[in-house]
Amino acid sequence: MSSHGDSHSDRYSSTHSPPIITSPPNFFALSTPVFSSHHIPSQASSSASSASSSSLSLARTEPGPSLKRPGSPLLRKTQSFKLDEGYGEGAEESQSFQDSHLDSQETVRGGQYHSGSPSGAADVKVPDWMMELSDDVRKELAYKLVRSLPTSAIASIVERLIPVLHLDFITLLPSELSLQILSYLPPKSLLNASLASRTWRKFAMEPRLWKGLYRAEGWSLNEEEAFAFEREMRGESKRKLQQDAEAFVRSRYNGFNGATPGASSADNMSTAATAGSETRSTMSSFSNGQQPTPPTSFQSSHTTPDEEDLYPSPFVPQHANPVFLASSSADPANISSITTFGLTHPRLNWAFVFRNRKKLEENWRQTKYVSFQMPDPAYAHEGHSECIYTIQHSAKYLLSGSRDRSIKVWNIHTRRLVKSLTGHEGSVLCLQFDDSASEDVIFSGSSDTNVIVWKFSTGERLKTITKAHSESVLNLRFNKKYVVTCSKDKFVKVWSRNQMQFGEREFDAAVRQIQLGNNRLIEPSQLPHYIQLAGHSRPTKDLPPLTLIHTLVGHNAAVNAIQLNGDEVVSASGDRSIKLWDLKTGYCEKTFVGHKKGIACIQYDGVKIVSGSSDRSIRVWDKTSQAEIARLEGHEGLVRTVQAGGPFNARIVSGGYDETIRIWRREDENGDLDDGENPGIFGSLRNGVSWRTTGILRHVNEVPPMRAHSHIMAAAAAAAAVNAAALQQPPAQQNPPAVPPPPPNHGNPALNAAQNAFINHNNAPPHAQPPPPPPPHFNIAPIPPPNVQQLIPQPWNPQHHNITAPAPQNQNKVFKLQFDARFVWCCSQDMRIVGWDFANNDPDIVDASRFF
Amino acid sequence: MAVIKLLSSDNVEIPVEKDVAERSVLIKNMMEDIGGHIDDAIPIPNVNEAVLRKVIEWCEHHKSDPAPPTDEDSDSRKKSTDIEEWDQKFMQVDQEMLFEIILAANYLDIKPLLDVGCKTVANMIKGKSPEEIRKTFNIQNDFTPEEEDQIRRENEWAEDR
Repeated sequence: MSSHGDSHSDRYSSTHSPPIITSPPNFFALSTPVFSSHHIPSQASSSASSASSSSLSLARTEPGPSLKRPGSPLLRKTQSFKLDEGYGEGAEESQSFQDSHLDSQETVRGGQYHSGSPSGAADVKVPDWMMELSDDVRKELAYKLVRSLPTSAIASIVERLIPVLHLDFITLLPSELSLQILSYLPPKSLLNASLASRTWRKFAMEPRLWKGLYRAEGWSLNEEEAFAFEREMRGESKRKLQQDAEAFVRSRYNGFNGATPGASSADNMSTAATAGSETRSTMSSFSNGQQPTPPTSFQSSHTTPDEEDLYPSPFVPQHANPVFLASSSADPANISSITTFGLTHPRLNWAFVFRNRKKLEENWRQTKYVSFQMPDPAYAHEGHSECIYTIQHSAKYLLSGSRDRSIKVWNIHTRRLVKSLTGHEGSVLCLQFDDSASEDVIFSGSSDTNVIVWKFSTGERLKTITKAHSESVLNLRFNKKYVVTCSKDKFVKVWSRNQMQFGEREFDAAVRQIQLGNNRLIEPSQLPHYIQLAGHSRPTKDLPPLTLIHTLVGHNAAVNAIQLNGDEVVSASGDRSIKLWDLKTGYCEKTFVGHKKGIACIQYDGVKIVSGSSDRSIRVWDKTSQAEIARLEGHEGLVRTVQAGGPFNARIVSGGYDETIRIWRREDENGDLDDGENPGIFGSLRNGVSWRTTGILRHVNEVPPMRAHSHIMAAAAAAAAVNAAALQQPPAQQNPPAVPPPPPNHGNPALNAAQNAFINHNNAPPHAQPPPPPPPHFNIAPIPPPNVQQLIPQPWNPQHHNITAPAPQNQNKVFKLQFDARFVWCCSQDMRIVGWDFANNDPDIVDASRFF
Repeated sequence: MAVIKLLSSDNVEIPVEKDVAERSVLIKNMMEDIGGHIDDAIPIPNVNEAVLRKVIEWCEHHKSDPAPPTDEDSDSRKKSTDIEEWDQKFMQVDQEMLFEIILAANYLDIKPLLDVGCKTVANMIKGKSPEEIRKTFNIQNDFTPEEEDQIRRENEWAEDR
């Protein structure tokens, strides 16, 4: 039937159709002419008339129930209502919706007719009687009619129906619902959606969506920094508004008021603030710039410069406002900009943050980084003069404790020495600090058996616990309540951070320690001051801070490491066991056994324990069940330092006496990060999940052996007179070495380019691999690390210990590492701290990393 | 069992069990405000009969659902677009009906139904190329070829590794 050409259709539909439609609904009378035009319409625009003709043929061949009740529209409504009462079964339901479809179809059709049809087909109307047929009948009718058309006509009908069948939800729905829909999409789908149209892009790039996605990845998020940034952006746009306002005022009053705005920022702030105080009284709560700022009124305009001065931002993005204006027409949501648009001010572009965090995580996975060292080679004299046993960092500072008996405070950004603290009479083996204003404290422990408490900001020595233990203090941790120390003397000691009064549980425990003679500061003879005597309501004295509360006895060898978590402590010992202690009682709650040799390091987050041992393995334990849930094997020597963290705690970084740092990733069989949501029994790894080493870092790859610029070192050290040891350097070693000193920049791109996760430094490019030097005097290889000495069954002998390594090594045994979202820092037998920056010199990652 | 009447936008009265109707927070609050009893039909001016019946069908099936967990950390978890089987079937309707259900669920404040509706649309987007998305939702591409090219290049970072 499709052979009948389109040429006919126009003529037919224009001449014949209108009369058909406008005729009274006597369909038996009409049936013949209509039937004869059965194959006529092939234009999309004539579908209405074709529908009517087809209905006739249907009515003729199989008079359905509807024929018996050619009723009013009301009747039809009743009919469909009845159908709906049988609701719940698919077929009938969908029919009841046909109503609304047909209605809207008609609407659409009507619109198109008015927009101009070449023929008179536009005026075609479906006769009332036909609309009164049941949905079933009309459906069948329409189908048969459509089938009677040439395929091209069917296609064009389908085309016209697209707007009915396909709705642009995102554009049509209220925007909060559009955002909810998009909030279910993974990043890739959201980006695809952003390409659908400009409107979709505006929704798909909405920062709130990307912030949600960011969180869902398990990535750390610096809310404070994000809030500060948004506040800054508000300030920016506010300033713009106010500049406009000032310009307006100036032009209006032409100099009358002109001096005020300019003067206020330059002149002293108190004057300006006074001047402004009247007009902004109602807004005073916002005027300090610390609060979210509402859109500004013209009134307060002249107070702004003061606020800007009072709260200068270190991080005003250079391109915030220009981008806002420039790109608004082209792309409202450029993913490569740190800001995006808001109604009144630019906002933090979370898509940008997300993208760069993703890039950073990818750099971790592929071990792409640039390295740096502290001290900066240009200021080598600022460094320690012997190996570094411990480091810890905060957002601003890194502290290191060395065999040279000093603690050094470094600015983590400039990598310059801030100050050096001396006071210990032995190696500084452990330290912890808190640079927040409320704490402002450093605790350090030493092989001199003392613990020193320092004021962080001034470096002042606040208190010394002399002979805290009878041997080296190997590790210490503190929180608001306790200081816990552990020692080669096999004990763990718990000290109160606060003053204790009679009646407190800790007070009783502390008195007991005095009775036992464990408290070196308070002799048992002093007991009467602290116990309740007859006739007294309470003892005469409170116990001062740093009083011993518990001595935790149970380990049979040196306690090498501890971790404090609330009222719990875990301890790791050379006796191959881990113990969990309850600090409220002082009792050992659990013992974890499994390591084949002594344990050197430990981490605990309240749920899981991670330990590293001389048996070369790292093990993960479930606290509750005490089950070993994972074992990480790969190190070729004692595992001396371990940290777990990263997204979903799926990253472990470990360092050991094999001179390597390993980066481990918990991933599933597809290589995707395991979010730990579906663990096996007792928290064990789900089937297919394993810890895989994704990269190996080596101190020696980043830092040329000291000889490389030892002459600089020596000269600098001599000049600074910091380091007596350096002066003893044999003259021979002061000759300029064959190997050039490293470039002054922090990164080491050439090395980095060649860097491969598993590259052995022996295979490294020549410039990275100077001939093995004789060990310089200052890191004469075997510095027996005092705190793990006893882990090793045989007498400590590096030459025998590290069989696989070439002889000149054993200079970079890793003692302690720390990592955060972007960096790994590490100290070793070398006297320099090495850092690895996984932003890998990508300026966007660096920009975004303040929010990580 | 208490029955109340709802009046659709096209003036059809539909009797509904009170429990069922009160899956709608809007109706629930209204009932509380008027003291829990009403003889007149409650007008639902934004929802026509067909949609209202569909919404009631959903409420009937879910009338004994436990209160949804307060999703405090829904933010910090990957959002799932999983939909239970019955709801999936229920949502097998044309786009217009789906659209109307979402609007009605929003208006009547039936959060679980709104969630299912939004997830259904999300699943229509998920895994599709921009072209397929345009087709599914009848969207006109209003980017210039240059713009589209640039955005595509910008989006490459998210490609599967």
